[in-house]
Amino acid sequence: MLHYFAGFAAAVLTGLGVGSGGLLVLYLTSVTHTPQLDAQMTNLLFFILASSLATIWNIRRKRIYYPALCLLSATAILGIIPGTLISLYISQSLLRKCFGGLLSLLGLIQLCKNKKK
Amino acid sequence: MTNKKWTLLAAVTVAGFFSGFLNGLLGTGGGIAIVLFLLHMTKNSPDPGRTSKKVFATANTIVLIVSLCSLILYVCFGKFTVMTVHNGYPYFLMAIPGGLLGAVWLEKCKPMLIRKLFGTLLLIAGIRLLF
Repeated sequence: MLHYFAGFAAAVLTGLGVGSGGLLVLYLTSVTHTPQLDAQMTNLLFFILASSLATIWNIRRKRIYYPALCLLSATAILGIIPGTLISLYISQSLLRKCFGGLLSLLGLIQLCKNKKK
Repeated sequence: MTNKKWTLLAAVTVAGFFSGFLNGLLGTGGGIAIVLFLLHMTKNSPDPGRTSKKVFATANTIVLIVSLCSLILYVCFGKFTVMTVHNGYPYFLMAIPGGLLGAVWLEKCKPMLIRKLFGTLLLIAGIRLLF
């Protein structure tokens, strides 16, 4: 039951656009003890499913900046290749520490943004 | 092309590449890079409320495309298997209704409080993982 709730909560946050990938990966690694890389891959498919309908909804609401979408997607696809290759060949513990560093940075950014406003 | 356009093109390239790299390496995090970049580019918008929703929606779509490509790479390397799908089915089942609800709520709620709580949670979790 907890897994379903965790998935639902993460999906709602994804749809809101505030980002939830970190939470689901954290849940998978800490609660279900899934290896870091498996948790990341699960999160990728999860995000694809969670944001597909949200994307259709946003397109219908005319909320997409199409020039930004095309340019940023094209350059992001170039960046995936080295990122994915590195994730396949580094140790799980190092990957976990990188993930921890990212979460800390994301948390600080979210809090600092709120303080400024 | 003017210097300003070259600078913009360079900024877009770096932001996009960094976002893709993060998503490829850690399976997440690319979205925040895109959101920060787009928010900076639209900071002088006359309608900040509507603009921020457009930024989140655009970032969501970009990360969707990027995640799809990343997943295809993992499949090509034989890392993403049927077992991964099998183990993740409770989350996948909730993904679509939750995502749709979030998109509908985006119209009505103010993301500020959610971001504050989310930021605190991420910071605590991140520090725990580091040590």
